[in-house]
Amino acid sequence: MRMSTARAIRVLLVSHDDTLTRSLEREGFEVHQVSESEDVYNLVGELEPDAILIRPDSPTRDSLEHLASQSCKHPQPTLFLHDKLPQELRQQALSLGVSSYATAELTPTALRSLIEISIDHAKRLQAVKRELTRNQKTLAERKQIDQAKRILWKDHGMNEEAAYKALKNMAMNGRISVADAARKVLESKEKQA
Amino acid sequence: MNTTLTTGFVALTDALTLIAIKRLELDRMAGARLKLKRMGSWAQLRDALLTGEIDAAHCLPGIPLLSQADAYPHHVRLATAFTLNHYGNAITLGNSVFDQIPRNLPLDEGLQQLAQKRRESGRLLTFGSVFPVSKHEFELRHWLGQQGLQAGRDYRLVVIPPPLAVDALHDGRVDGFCVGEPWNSVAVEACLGKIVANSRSLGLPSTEKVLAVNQQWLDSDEHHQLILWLHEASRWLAERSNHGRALKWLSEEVKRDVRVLEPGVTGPHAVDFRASHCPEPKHALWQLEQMQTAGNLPEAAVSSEIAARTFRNDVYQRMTRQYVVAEPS
Repeated sequence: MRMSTARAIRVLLVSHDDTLTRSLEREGFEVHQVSESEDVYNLVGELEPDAILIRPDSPTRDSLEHLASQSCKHPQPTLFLHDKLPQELRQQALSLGVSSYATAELTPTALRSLIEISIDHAKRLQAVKRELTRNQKTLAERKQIDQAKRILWKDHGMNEEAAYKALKNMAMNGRISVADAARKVLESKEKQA
Repeated sequence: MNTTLTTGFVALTDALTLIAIKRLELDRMAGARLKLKRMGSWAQLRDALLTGEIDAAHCLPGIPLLSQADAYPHHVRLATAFTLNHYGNAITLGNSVFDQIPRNLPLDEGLQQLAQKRRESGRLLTFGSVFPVSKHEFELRHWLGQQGLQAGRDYRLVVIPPPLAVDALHDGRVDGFCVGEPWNSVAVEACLGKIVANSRSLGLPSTEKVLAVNQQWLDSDEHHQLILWLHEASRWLAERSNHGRALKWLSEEVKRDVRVLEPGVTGPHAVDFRASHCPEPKHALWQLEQMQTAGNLPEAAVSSEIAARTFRNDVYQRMTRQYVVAEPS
């Protein structure tokens, strides 16, 4: 059974383009057309758009980039609307991954697919990033645990197994994680030094 | 050499050196032509440099620095061999701030009180800079720190493109900003606020704008030619008697009255066209440190090697040595 996704895909269009707005609406999108001088920080916060469409030469791009770098919660893909875009430039842009370019010459159906693919792509990218952060954290913690074990082994004459047990006990007694216990051992060693 | 050198710029006072090359028709003498391309945002300018849509650009140093720190995909690396401006920014606070600070209080105490009031009301003081890796943002953080304000606790930072900064101040979306000229003077002229500091008074390591190019283009004849033109245009702009003409051109490019452009060309926030154009790697290192502190770079990227790879004083020296020889006496 499919969960009902009640809300239409919401698009923030930072440009005055009534024709585009109408054709996107016909494709079932919820379109919010805004001018460049509006406060995109508030707009994006309030509307939580699924995608942002903007002209490549719009000054608002710098604000949107800052916004994207700050919030990891809503990965909105940004699509640039060129009137005409030479094929080689489009490929270069794609290979750089700096931005996804679309043209205003596309048929509404093609634009619809492009927006949907971009949203999907952004979500996947976000998931990969989260996974990467988690792995990096695990790796860093494992390193700290190893260092702590070595300290216990050297300074307190424990073997590896006993050192790990000691860390585990510390964690259990202090109601903290083993990684936190390891950090404490490293910190107290640093203070001694 | 019979090519077109496409150079991007953002409509700001310190793009004047590039504009002057065109207006003085310095590019008529050589086999190459300069084509200037106005960019709407730093993001657009950066992408155009990375994709090769433009050959060179009037650029914030943070953009080539990030490229050398591999912060952009596919390892396109940018570098600079020419400094366009050292000081050009100012910090403007809006009337909304001054109106709410008791007149008998020093500015820093007043700001601290106001910050607390705004925190309690749930609407933090908001200040605008122009790009996350800009010297503007570093200067703004520094000055607000001097006033005893802490980012996050006392204020939030937003990015406002320079041409929209004055509107944002007018609408009360920001309480102040740090932008390049002419936009501070435009705000003052419109009675929207007061300038409280500028890059000179802040005295931080100062490289404000550079000519950024793809690293692979550094040793090209085209790049060399562009640097020769920039030298000539700077020398011309250094003469006060030429400022009248320069202001007129700038006014046509930025679409603002000459009166509001004067402070950035001849007045207190002026670009120093006599200053050395040689890149200073220690300024680059300082900017890397600032970016790291602001959370835009990993610690490992703060290295003098990256600084030296981006700010190519060696290329500058090589090219200008030839320039001195080629100069007619």
